[in-house]
Amino acid sequence: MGIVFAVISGKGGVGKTTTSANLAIGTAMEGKKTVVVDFDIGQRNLDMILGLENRVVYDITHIMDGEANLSQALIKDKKNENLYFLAASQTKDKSVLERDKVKHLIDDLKENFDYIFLDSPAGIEGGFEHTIHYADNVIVVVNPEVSSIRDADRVIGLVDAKSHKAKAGETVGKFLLINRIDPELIEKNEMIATDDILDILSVTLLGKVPEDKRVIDASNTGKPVILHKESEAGKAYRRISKRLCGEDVPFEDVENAPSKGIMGKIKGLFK
Amino acid sequence: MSFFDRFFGKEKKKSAGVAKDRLMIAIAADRENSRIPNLDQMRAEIISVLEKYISIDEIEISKERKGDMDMLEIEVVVKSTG
Ligand SMILES: Nc1ncnc2c1ncn2[C@@H]1O[C@H](COP(=O)(O)OP(=O)(O)O)[C@@H](O)[C@H]1O
Ligand SMILES: [Mg+2]
Repeated sequence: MGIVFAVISGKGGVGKTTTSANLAIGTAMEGKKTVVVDFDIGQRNLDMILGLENRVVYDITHIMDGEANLSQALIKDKKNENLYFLAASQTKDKSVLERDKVKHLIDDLKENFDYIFLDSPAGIEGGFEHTIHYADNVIVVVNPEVSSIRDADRVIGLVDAKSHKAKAGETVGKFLLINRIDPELIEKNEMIATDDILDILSVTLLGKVPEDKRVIDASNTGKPVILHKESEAGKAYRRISKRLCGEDVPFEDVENAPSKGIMGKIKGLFK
Repeated sequence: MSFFDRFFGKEKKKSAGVAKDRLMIAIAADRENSRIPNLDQMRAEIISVLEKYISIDEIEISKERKGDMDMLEIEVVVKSTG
């Protein structure tokens, strides 16, 4: 029986899609049979990030409408045989998602996969609710910045209220992924530090991902950062994926950019 | 600290600390509000129910928290018919 992770945030643009793509690849690399589903109906995005946009024939709405079955709509990655993807539609109509049909879809996915990632849209309605209804765990993506943290708190408060599991008396795992940590700003005390974020939000830390220019480059080429060996964000996603697969990986000090050694720091002083 | 800040003996509080303080307050208020949501709508509905039976002069709904208990106090002043 597969494990469902909903990737959520409250505020948009904080890195949910980037996170979904990279963790799906990462856990697939760890040998888990993984599927990642784009629930951002009307704003299809994940296909581009994964570099699979040319292979989409059927999407989630076709499954909802019964025009395609799951095996027709699932796209198998050519580079990683453990990785599958289900696209969102590009049309605006979010009402295509019906509670019963979504449940049926997720049950099907749980039968066939080890790990299931649901990439949630921004906000707290529609697609967002569908992703948390049947999630075993939520991964809350946050940037070290006030509005993102505040919205994350609101979303965390909603998880139990909306979750099917929580209503049945079980617990939903809640994990925090802090994305776009800027070592330079942290050092100057101009960016909220991890410990302070954890003080404010009561959730377990899953991982920290630094700001990395290669993320943009990766989205340009459709080759996610986790596949770029030199990328710090990629390395972070690699560690987080291992953690998700049960490996005890220590938290790396991403706040101190390793590329910028002691000399780099001293030079910075005289800038 | 810049030369001038040092000269005039003032040190600005770093913005990350300010952010944390502001967030703690904002989030505490958010959590407070989310415990009894849709208060405005509830107020409107209570008024419409009451008005079926009485004429209302004034209504006040207030939230209070005592220890672990959430209290909702509704005070209605009925219009005098005198
Ligand atoms: N660690 C990072 N470093 C640099 N840019 C990032 C990072 N994470 C995300 N981004 C950029 O932020 C933008 C929003 O990311 P995205 O994953 O689409 O967010 P969401 O799905 O939450 O809306 C994208 O342009 C992405 O390239
Ligand atoms: Mg997205």
